[in-house]
Amino acid sequence: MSQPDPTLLPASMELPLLAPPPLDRISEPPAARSVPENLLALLYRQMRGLAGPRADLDDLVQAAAERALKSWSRFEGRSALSTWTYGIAYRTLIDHDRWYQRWRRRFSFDADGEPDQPQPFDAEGDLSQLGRARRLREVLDELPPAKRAVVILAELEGLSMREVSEIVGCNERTVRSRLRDARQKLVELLAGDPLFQEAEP
Amino acid sequence: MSTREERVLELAREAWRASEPSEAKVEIAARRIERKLRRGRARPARRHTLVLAFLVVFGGALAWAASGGVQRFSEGASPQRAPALERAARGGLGSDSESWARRTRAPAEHQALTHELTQPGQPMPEAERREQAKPKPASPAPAASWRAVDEALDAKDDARAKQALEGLAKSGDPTTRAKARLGLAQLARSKGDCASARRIAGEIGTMEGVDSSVTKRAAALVAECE
Repeated sequence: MSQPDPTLLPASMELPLLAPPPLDRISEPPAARSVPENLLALLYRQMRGLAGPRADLDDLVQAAAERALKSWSRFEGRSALSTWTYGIAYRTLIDHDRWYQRWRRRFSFDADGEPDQPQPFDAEGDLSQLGRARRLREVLDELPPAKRAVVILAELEGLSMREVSEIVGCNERTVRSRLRDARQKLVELLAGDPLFQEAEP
Repeated sequence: MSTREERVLELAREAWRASEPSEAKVEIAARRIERKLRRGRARPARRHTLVLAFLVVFGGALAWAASGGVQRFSEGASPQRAPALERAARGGLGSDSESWARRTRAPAEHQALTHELTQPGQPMPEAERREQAKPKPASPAPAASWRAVDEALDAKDDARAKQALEGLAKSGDPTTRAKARLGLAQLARSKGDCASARRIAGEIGTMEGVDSSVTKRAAALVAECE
């Protein structure tokens, strides 16, 4: 029985991701499979990508990890582990932000210490990259959450349409439409920025 | 998409990759969250409590059934209660028939039954009967859910929102309790009652196992509400 190709995993993830379980393990009772050791690291990396470096990032990861552990027995291994955890991270973030927005609508949180304020960027590399990374996050934050997630997953993380549609729970057509809009907006906002106006190669 | 736009996207991808945290940072964060997760999770204990509660209820139900409770209940539920009443009268007030009657009948009906048992053959005084026949005001049970809070807030019914939030403030989950208390504090602030708002929000800081985002909002409310 052939092993699934591990190169199908997102290339931008440095973490040694677990390869999707071999096909002969899928029939094994899910509870018998142990939780992978890198689950928290994987969730942290994914949540940081989706939510950005914000003050309540740890809490978001903790909430996502609780969900993942709770539903681990239902993970059947049909999709890659990283796709499954991405889905959990995405839903946790959306639920949290909806809760926050609901309270924000009702009450003004204008001086409440802004829990969602971005933390100082910890990009490693030269200053121009750091500036670009910061500006990119600012622009991404201007997009609606659903479009932001799609452009991050498909354009920046390099996931396939099928994986993205599985993560966000929409069909591929909707994902493509969201991606087109989000990409257009992203380019529009970044193209006018001096940081993104380097001499063309 | 033009070459220039492609280039912008390429630069964005490069910046994205450069902003990814290092392996060491991810490891440190994962360990930090793991520690929190271990502290915050009390699921096995909660499960044991549930199992224990189930056993107690199940044992109680068995004992009740073994003492003939099912038979008494089916007699009590039938429309013709006369034989049961006769048996209860024969058994006297010392028997468990009185408590059974109290359990299975409405309060007014129970009073009538007690009267019949203690003073057989004598009619119940009219005033007492009228008093008992009066419908008691039904106290609506507050639906303690975020949906109820939402609906009440949308309807601008602060009293109902407060009632629902107070229900949520008794939840078993510390974060839900804290969020509900934060909601109560915000409600108080929206009415200009800063003293109450500060007091309620201040209490959130002393609660354990609460999501840090809620604590921060509570602290901010305490600081800004004057």
